[in-house]
Amino acid sequence: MASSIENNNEKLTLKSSDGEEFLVEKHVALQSTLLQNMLDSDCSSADVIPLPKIDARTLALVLGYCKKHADASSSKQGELNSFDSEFLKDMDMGALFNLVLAANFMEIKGLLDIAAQKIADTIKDKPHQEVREIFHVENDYTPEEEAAVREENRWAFEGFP
Amino acid sequence: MNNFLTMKRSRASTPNAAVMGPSILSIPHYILMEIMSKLPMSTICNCMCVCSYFRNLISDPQFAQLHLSRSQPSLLLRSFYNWESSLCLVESIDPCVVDSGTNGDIRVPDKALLKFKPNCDLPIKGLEVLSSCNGIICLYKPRSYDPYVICNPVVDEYVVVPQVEKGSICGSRRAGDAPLYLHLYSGGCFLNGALHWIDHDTENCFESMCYFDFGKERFQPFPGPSQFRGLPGQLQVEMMKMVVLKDGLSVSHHAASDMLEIWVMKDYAVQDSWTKDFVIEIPWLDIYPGLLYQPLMVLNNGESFMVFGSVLFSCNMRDRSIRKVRVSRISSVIIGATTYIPSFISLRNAATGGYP
Repeated sequence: MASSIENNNEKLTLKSSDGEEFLVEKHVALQSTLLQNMLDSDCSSADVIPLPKIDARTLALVLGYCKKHADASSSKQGELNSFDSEFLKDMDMGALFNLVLAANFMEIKGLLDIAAQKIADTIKDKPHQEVREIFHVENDYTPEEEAAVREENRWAFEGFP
Repeated sequence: MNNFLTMKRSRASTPNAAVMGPSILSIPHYILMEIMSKLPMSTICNCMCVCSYFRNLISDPQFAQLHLSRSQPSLLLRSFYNWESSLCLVESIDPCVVDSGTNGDIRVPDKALLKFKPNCDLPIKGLEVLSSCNGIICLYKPRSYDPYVICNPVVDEYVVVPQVEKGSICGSRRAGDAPLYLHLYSGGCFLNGALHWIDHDTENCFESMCYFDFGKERFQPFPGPSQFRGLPGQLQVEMMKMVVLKDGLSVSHHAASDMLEIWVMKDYAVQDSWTKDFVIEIPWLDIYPGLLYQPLMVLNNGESFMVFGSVLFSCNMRDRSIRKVRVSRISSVIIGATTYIPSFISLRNAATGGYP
């Protein structure tokens, strides 16, 4: 149990849903509570850890985030904040959703928070028609139902078309 | 409203995988709640129109609880709006959205102002805000104290409270340990799950503080500023207001006719942490006796919003400058202003002791 954490240079292998393998330093992997728990139990680092819900593109992003935060841990918060905002800048909605799902699955709280905040920032102050487009959500209301929901919340629509 | 909700639930409560790319409905509902809870009230309400799944999510008591834990103090204004008295919410007052107007005033942008439109026939005209907690507001009729109305205007729920006998605390079965005199004009100040009051003697002089513990349903003594102790007879409670500032209990005190002192309890219930946080020179002198300056909120940039009668203004703690705050769509007449933490908590859940 202790052997898994004592050597920082140890590496482990993660496998994405599309079969790509990533060699990750252990202290980087520890950013993920899921991986930490696996290492704390008797999971051997020689094993390949499959991550069946995360594709290679997303996993590469996640590991980039983890590496930055593991290497800079506790030192420069300002630098990390600017890394975080740069990291998510220009990311499309699909990639953001995948990132949120991966961060949730791998239990990386910091990443989940910033990705959720980024999604929230995207829809802030947007009318509901635009929210539908951004999120690719189908409108399942009849026009009458939609009008009724709007009427119930009419106080909140002052600034919306 | 509820029939409609149930109907929608039975038909389309499961995420519908969309065709044109990744849909937000592929995200687990608790993460979606997380995302929604970070949005302003107006966007959240607007999102109810997106689809029935969003609406059910936002109507969920679990969401209301999560949202309340994140919700920031906002300004609640009572004003004349198109000649009728109404409740308005000023959302997200932060330094970025408050731009200085031409004559040096602070101008609250139009889109930050939302006017509640009650969908009921309750007589809320002429009522004033007594206090609020967890997004639930208590309105009352000045002088007659009849009726009291408990409401959450966000979810459009209003209830008239049956009259209680004078001297007993509404809703409490045992108030025998109540202090003799509570400074009632402050209305009781809600923080950390308890209501706080200033306690005074027969001469209306500051005596001590107390709080009402809802769990034990009784009054308990609460540490007031020890600096107030050696000044018997000088500290008239009519010159004080108790408010929550920067998440802490605070007392504003008109120490002299032209000076307002703000005391803040930095650590909750720690007597030694009472500190005189700042002193301002009063910009406009009292025209009516009994009209007090009331601090509302302190922004991160050091601006401190206050209200005096119908004047909303801000005092900058760094350079001591005083600027009026203009809320453009409200006519100049503000009848009252308080801080308020908006929530989606339904009165039904609040009444049962609260938590789903």
